[in-house]
Amino acid sequence: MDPNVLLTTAVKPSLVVLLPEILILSVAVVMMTAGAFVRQPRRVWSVSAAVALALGLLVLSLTGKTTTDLYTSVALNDAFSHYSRLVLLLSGFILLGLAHDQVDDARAPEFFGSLLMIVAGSMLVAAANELVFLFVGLELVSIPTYLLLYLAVRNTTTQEAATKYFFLSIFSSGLLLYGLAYLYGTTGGSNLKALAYLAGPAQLPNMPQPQFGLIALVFIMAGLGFRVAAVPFHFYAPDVYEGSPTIMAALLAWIPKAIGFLAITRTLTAVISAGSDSSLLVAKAVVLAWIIAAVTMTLGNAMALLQDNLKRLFAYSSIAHAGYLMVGVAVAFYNAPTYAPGTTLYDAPAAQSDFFLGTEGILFYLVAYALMTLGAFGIFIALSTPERPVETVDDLAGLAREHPLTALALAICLFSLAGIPPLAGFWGKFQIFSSAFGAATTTDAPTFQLLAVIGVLNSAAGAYYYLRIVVGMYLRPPLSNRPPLQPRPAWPTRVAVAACVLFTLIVGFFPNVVSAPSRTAAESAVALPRPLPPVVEEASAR
Amino acid sequence: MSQFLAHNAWLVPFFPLLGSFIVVVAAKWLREQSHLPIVAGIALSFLVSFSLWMVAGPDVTSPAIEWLTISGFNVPIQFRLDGLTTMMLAMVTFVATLIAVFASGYMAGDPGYPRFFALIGLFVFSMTGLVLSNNYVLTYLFWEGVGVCSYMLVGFWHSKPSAAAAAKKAFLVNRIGDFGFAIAIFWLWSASINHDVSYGNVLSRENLDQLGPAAIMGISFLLFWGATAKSAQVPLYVWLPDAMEGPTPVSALIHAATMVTAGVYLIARSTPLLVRAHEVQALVAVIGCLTALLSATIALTQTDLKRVMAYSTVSQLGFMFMGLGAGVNNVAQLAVFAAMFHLFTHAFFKALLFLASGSVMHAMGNVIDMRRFSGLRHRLPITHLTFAAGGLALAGFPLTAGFWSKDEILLALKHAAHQAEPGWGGIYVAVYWIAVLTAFMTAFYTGRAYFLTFWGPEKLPSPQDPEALAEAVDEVDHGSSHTEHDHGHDAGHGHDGHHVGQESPPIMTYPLMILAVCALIVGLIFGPTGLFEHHLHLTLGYEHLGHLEAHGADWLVMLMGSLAAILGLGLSYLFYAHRSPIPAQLAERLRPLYLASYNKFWIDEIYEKAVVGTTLLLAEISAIFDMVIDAIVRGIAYLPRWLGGAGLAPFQNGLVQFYAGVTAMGVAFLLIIVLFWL
Repeated sequence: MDPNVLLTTAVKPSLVVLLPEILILSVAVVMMTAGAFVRQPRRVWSVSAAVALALGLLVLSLTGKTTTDLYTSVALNDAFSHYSRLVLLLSGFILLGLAHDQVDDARAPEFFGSLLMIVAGSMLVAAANELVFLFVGLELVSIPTYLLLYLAVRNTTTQEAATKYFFLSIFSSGLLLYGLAYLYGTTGGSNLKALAYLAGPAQLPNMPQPQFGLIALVFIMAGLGFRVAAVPFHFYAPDVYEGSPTIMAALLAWIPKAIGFLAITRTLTAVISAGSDSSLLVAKAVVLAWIIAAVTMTLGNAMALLQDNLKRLFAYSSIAHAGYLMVGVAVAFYNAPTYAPGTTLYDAPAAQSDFFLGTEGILFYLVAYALMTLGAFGIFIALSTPERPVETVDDLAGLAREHPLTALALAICLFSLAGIPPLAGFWGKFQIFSSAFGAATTTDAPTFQLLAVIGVLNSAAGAYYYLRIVVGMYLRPPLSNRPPLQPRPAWPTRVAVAACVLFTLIVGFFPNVVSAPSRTAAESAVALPRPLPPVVEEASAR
Repeated sequence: MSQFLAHNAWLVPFFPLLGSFIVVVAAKWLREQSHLPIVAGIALSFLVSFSLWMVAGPDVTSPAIEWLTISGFNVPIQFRLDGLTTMMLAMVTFVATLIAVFASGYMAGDPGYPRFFALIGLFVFSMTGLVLSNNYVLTYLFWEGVGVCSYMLVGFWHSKPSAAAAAKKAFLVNRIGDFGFAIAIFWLWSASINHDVSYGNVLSRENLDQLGPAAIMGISFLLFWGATAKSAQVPLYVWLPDAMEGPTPVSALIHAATMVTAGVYLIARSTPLLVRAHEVQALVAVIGCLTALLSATIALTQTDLKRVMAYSTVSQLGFMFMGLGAGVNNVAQLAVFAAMFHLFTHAFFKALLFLASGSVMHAMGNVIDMRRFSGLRHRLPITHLTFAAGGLALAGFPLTAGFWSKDEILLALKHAAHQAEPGWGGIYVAVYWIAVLTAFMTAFYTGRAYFLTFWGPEKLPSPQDPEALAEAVDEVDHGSSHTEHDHGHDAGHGHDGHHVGQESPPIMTYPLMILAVCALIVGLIFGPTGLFEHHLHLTLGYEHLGHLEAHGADWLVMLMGSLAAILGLGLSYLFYAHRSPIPAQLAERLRPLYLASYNKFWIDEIYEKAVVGTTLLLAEISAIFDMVIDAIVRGIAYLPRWLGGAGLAPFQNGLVQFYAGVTAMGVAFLLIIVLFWL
């Protein structure tokens, strides 16, 4: 292909699209470098991080219309990418608000720099359209996370947590790379849209051994399953959450889960579901996601029932939520736009109305999950003081008497997590389970319906441990042997928590605010427009 | 222009809501001025409604605002501005404005003054929303909204046990109806094209054609079920007479003019569906007829003025349903016009009668028992005249509002008797004659209430009345609530400088006078001129309804109606104007009948025994069952804990090499499954 054409259709627009990430990353690099030479109070560093995020947000909204060529670019700016990056960037503000006073002055530049890198890395994952680039994004999240885990508080517990996370994380990255290598080796392509095109309209002409595709599938699922804390890759979550500061638990509960599912959508569901319903790969992928979803939900909820430590409880709860999201993945593997007989090209997805429901459910659920989980963790952060930390369920007993508004806010988050209408979490569960229920009409229907039933039963069991906290807050007297809570959260923390709670309510009453963009994003994730002629040549030449 | 107005239809519910909001926020400062934002809000929304009347058309809708769009379930916020809706809007906001003005005088001095007006504003918001909605789900939401407002307003003096009980009863009975309505919506959702429950889709010909006969009949029946509770029809009418425990303006607004007609509205809205189920239509007519007759019979002997009006409302709603039920084949258009016209005129004269009763109650120091006062026509001249105007309209005296609309209903019934499916005509013949009889009874009890209150020797209530003493004994029997009762009901709207036996202040009498004029002439203006019919013709789906080639005035029907009214009024004049002994002798002669009517046919007691008793028994049995279930549930609840504790917890041992090992084994396991097993 003519390098000049490539420059104008792929490279330049890609750079424009990636401007927000580039901007945030450069500020992060400057901060981390300057931190070694100048001493400034913490406020300076947190404000510059906020400015970087705000600039990123501005640039992101300005570059919203830029598009890149799907089959040659490393980064996309389709609705999926734009919407996910917006959500991740906004959640970056919330994380920053919660984290702004969680570190001392000396380590502030590295701390906020790492935070910026994590946000930028997660945005790269959402935009990535290339196996290697996706991996870079994932690692750009992982490596600063190792740093952050150990930066804020340095003692043996955080050391243990950081070490565990480090070892298991690189192990999972190894699994993921192995899977990506198989994918590349089987198809000879690394552009994700091109892979989807090969799997779908082109029917993978050069796939002699479908087993290789299956191996790639299992390994990629394993590598990303670690990020989202799906069984059996979940072991680190409770230990690491418990051992690290609350703000890190909040970050770990959200960012890796989000990018994990975004990456699963990009690399697996969007690619594999492009194949026909009867293809071996689709059937096996559904089985794989089905097993992981069922086991993850059940194990997460069963273990959460036993926990008294809040961070462990939320670790298992986050595992359970990964299970619910996996239901959406199973549906997304199965539901794909079908191609009219005789055609190999796919332009408009409007002919069918349900092919995107699984992905839409995932995207909606992620937003709801971010709001309620970050909200709950934010309240724990706001309530904790060095002399009276909030660690266990008992620490919250009688909260409603002293701090009725805080208790109400936490109750809203917990009700939403339990999936009680009309809150954001309810609509998330509703979308995912109803998409599973209506996923198939053929003989596959019972399989999906059983999964939906397992999910509903699980969320019923899950309500127990959330409501236990609510009961404790409202009906039990405060523990007499502990000093009263005297929270003194700064305003950024308050704003962050208030935003989470408020949006949990707003999304609950007006789900369309999130579900409409989720739908367009989900549609764009599986859209495969007609490739430009030169690309077709190249694809067939391989 | 019409586009502009249609786009701003949201202002109609918005103004009263805004008024409510202001009252809630600024109650502390507004206190005795709390009625201002509400009166202004409702008046503004009347102005908007009035202009909307001009732009009405079968397919005029406001732009849809996406609200719920989840997995194939799509409920937009959208308003429909056709003839039916704009008629209801104009009527509701007009009557509500006058009633709010009246209430500002009536409720003066009540400690809950701001709360009262905030709730009234909320009610008007819900009611206008109900008639504006362009789909069944949104209608249902507002339907519940008016129910909640009614609950809170019936129980406005909630420290009074009877008011609290009445509110609870109203709410629970209405829930039974809501159940039917909800199932109707589920059914509509699953059976309609595109799962779209908007009126435009559901009532379109294509959709109605593709619905099976079972769906048509079932949905019609369920919708009517929902309507029977809201509009107080047999067997669910029992809540409405008790709802008179609320303040009188509430009875006038909610339980006479507007909310109780929501059921009639729903059926009228769904007429294109209903005309395809003639069995359900016959049921509607029969139930309406039964209700009208039963409650008119009860109204004959009641001594509580407000209760007479309450049973009369139930009876008149029965008339409306008779009208709706008469819409077979070619009568469909005439029938729905007649029913809606009666709804329209009834709103004016019944609101007037309630307000006039309220004015009597106000002047009599909150006594409403007709045995304790009489001959008030000289003391309360304005109340007397306005009540007389309302009474004439209710009785259907020639040329008054009620005459024209009742005449239309009788006409529709008469045509229905000829046009009905073979074998069904007999039902309509019976319904027609019972309707005439009921019209006669209506005139009689209206006259009775009027003459007992305003004619005869002048008498004001005194604490020494035997009825008052009996009531006091009753109160003591009912425990310590006596003082609270006084506080709630009597001191409720205190009489600052207002003495018993005096005419109400102008702020109350002016609305009465306006309504009185309406009650007399509104029928003449809208009925024979065809104005109403022409406007209602602009309703979605009505143009396809069957209609008669030409229907002029039927003199025979008119004569029957007039005769019934004049005979009823004349008889009541003979009996009550000069206190003849005949009624007492009749009551003695027909003692069982009299007692049955006086005790409302013991329907409440029967329900108490049959329904409430059975439910309680069921609850007892369930409680025993519950213990067994509880044990099982506990066992199941323990299972995951056991699974987590004994089965899974050991894996979480904190050793990173173990975690990595298990992860690797997990990958291997999944690989084996995917590659070789399934």
